Amino acid sequence: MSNTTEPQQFSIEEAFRCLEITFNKSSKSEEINQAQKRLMDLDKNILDNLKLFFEGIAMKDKYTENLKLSALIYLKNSIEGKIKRKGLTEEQIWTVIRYFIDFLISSELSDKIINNINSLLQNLFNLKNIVKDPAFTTDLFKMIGNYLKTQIESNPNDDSSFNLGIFKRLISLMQMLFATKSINDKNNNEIFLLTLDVADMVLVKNQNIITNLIASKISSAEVILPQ
Amino acid sequence: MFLVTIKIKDFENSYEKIDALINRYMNTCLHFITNQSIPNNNLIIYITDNEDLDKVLNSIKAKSFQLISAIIQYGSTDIKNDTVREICYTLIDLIIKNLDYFVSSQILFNLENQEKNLDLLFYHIFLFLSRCLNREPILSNFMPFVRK
Repeated sequence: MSNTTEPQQFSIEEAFRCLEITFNKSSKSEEINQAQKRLMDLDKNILDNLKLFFEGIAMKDKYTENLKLSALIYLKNSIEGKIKRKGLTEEQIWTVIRYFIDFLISSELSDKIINNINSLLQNLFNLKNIVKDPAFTTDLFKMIGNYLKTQIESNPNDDSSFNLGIFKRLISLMQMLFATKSINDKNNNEIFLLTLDVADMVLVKNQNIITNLIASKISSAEVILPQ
Repeated sequence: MFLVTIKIKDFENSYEKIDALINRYMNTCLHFITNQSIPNNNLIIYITDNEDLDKVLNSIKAKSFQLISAIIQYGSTDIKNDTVREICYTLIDLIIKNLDYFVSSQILFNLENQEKNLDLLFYHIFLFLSRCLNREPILSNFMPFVRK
């Protein structure tokens, strides 16, 4: 990622502190000015600092959900602003997409954060230049399928330790992609088959988990059913 | 899969894809709706003292109805596919029996203040009815039951 500005070092703590000051109503105006100045420095090399924000958002218990959402909205505005001003090349936009997808798939995230990431990705996938290459979306579906297969095969017999959040993150990503122009006449046949493979994996694993869950919980329907 | 059903309408070979969806998932949907029921397999709803489990299973049933409804609605005023047609007959019959039971037992009053995703499930049950009862051959065969 080439930039004319000399990259500056930021820590996760500093980036999130600046956001906290900016969005906190009780912050003094001088503090806000200072924080915003630092955020502007950070914004100049936003692509280099993406992973810094991701690390902070993925941290459990260190930052509040609201602060994490603020960080995400800051990223979203920064990236979309740069795209509008033609400040990002097509290649850089792909880099952003790849970073966000890696982050989305591999991190434990709340529903709100997942929704916000998908909202940003949806905007990126609807850009005219991006949908020109149908192979990327096909590769993305292949990657989703392979990732899920690896997760399921890593411990095939132990349903109790399987992380169901994976389903939610992958399915929400696929839902988002289906709502964009990135699936089109050129790639829909292949993507349809890849989607069926993913759906089969989800259904089989889900069915096993539910069967075991039902067996492990002694259901006493009589408690609420009329005698 | 519901979104896939909606999306593929825009593309060529969409009927082949719908057939693939029917062959692959319609019986799974029926299984989710009918075979995972507490207290017995004659009821559509899942009701136990475990609220979280109830919510998940009733939500799965609701989504199964949603997918069946989307496929029924696909492009025609008739339900031409034999598998879908048979599933519609089975489900309508089951729904009628369930509604009878719900009314006579007043079971739903007992569940009024419990969060079990029953509102979502019933929404999709009635959506399913609204989609298939006005399509042939269901329209002719089930006319006597529509009032009920």
